[in-house]
Amino acid sequence: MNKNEKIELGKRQLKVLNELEESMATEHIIKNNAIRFKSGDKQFRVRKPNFIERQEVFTIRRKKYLELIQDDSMLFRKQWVDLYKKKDIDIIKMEVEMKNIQAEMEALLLKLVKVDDAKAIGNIKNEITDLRKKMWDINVEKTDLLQHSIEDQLLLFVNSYTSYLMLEVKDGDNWSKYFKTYDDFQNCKDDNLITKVFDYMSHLIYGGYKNNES
Amino acid sequence: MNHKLLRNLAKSDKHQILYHRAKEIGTLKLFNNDSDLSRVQIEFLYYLELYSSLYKDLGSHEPYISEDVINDSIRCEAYLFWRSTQKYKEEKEKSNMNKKNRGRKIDKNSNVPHMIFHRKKAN
Repeated sequence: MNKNEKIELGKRQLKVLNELEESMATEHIIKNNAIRFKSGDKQFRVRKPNFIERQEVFTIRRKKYLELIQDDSMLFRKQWVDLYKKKDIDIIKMEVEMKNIQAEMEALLLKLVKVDDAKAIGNIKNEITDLRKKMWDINVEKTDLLQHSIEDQLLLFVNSYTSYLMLEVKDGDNWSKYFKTYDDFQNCKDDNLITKVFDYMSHLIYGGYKNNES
Repeated sequence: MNHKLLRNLAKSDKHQILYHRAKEIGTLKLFNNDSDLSRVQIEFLYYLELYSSLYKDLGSHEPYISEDVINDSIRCEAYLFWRSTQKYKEEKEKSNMNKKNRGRKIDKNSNVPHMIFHRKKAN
């Protein structure tokens, strides 16, 4: 085995190990409705909110919504769409374009089913991947444009508040809330911890959201 | 984590066997929690059922399905989309046939007088 082959083999083994690790991590996430993890020397868990906590989120959401709609600098999605239209950015057109791409993709999927030839399969798959990317780009652009809307800000706030409620730390045999107040959560400097909490909260509430298999 | 990992796990022999045994034996559990499933657990159950149905299709030699298709996410999506439209078409045709035949069966040997009610046509 020459040097290049050894490097190639090493890369392949590393890939297999990474896949195995990812697979084990996924298995760990789906095993329970609470996800445990270690950060520093502490043992944490993110769990689904209970009924009382959900009620708390609902109440805090209503208060935040009232606060947002009373703020003159905040606009609804529809108002942003109208405002952008005046600046020649057409979000409705983007949505129509995405629907058209979806229809185009569906036609290609029906074509792909009946194709046998490896080259033709490859070509159609590439076309589908390109269309998906196109649709993804439009969607990202649209999301960026509307990120300051009342609806998006409210969702961000609710997710953030839910994450604060769901994070617990192990203290002996017991689990207790890690952040005593929402302000403590907001002021936390440990980005790694906050990213993990957001990620796990998303899995528990929204599912495997990163649909990046292509 | 992404859908690909979740799908691969659901597709694996280990989890397919566990899923089928869990359906047969009530005491065998897939998750540590019995209730209040997380969203990702619900998605995993969906994929388990999805791949189980694909392996069933493969076993019963349905058209356009093969091991290669199951292992290729885009081709698999294409097959599932085709299958859903095909089934939708078949069910629609069946339902149209049933609508046509409904109320038209008259027992000509019966002595009991019968009536056929027609809905008033809208103007």
